Amino acid sequence: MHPILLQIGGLTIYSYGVFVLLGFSAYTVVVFYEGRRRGQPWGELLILFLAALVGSVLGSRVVLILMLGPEPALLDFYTLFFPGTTLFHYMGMLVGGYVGVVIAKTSMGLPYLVGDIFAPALPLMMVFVRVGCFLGGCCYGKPTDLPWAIELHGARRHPTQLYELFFQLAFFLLLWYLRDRLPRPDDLLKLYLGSYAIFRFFNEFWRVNPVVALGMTVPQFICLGILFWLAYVLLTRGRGFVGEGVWW
Amino acid sequence: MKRKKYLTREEKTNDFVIGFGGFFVLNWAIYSLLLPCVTILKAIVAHELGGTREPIERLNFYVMLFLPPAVNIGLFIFFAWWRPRIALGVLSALGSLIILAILAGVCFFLACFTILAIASPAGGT
Repeated sequence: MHPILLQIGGLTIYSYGVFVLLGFSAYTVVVFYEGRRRGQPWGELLILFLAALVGSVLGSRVVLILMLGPEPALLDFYTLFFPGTTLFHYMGMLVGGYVGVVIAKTSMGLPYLVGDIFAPALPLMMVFVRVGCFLGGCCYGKPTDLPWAIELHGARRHPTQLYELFFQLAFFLLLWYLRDRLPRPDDLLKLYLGSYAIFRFFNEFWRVNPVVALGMTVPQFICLGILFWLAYVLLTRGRGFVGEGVWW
Repeated sequence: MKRKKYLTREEKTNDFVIGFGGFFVLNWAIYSLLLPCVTILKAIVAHELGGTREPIERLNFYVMLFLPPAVNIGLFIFFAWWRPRIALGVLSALGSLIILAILAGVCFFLACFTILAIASPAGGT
């Protein structure tokens, strides 16, 4: 754990904030690079980027409320903009960002799928964020005696931040390689969402998160929701329903 | 209500400015009006969460807390279909504030939601 990265005079620079910023910057660069490479006009790309950003922050907050209950600090809309309380939850970000982009696309009347623009950027962002989690000492796992356990918060624990870091790094490389190799638009994003939902579902068993029902956590229910939704999209695509549609 | 069709660049710019500026004006007004009430109720609810306070006080508290996101998101979606450039202005204002919060976040202690996790067994992102 190394929560403070450096101190310059009286100014303290925190690891988590720095790595979130690095992750967000990398995400921004890759989204705009991919968007332009795929021929997306600047104006549309900027709107989609903003919609994903705002949607992801709102989605994140909704999931945190589901997990932690109606805490006043979470319910207060204006705390979204106070530095230090911009609290993230990746599952919420994925769902909220997706919904944000769908609303923006519907509003603009864009007749094509744009998820592949975001697909490689998401795991790259999370590589940086998980380094921040590891240094900040959050997102930790349950106690274990495994040889690779790390000492954190008074016990030897699963390094769940590192499990996810390796997953995200591997998927960034895979998605980057597959960028132009998958047959249909949005396959790249769906591949990532499906794989991440499966990974996260199992990683949750090692993480310290509150169990809400059926022995599962809120992120696990979201993972199942994502997997059912993907199954529905893939099953109906061949019949010309949702997958052939404009918005999903 | 028909969706506005923009014919000139000036029309687009005007609507964008209305949306961007309107977001700050509207939220300043809401925040100024609600802040005293929310502060008092927040103190009551924080001390009495799970306690014996009248449910109506909690209800007022939650209604007031839900008002700003409901107004902001509701207006945003409404404008997205009616006057999209106003919605874009609102979106840009929201996005700019979030980006500023992320930038400033390097100087504030924050490890996922550790602040709240102290009070609950929850983990992180």
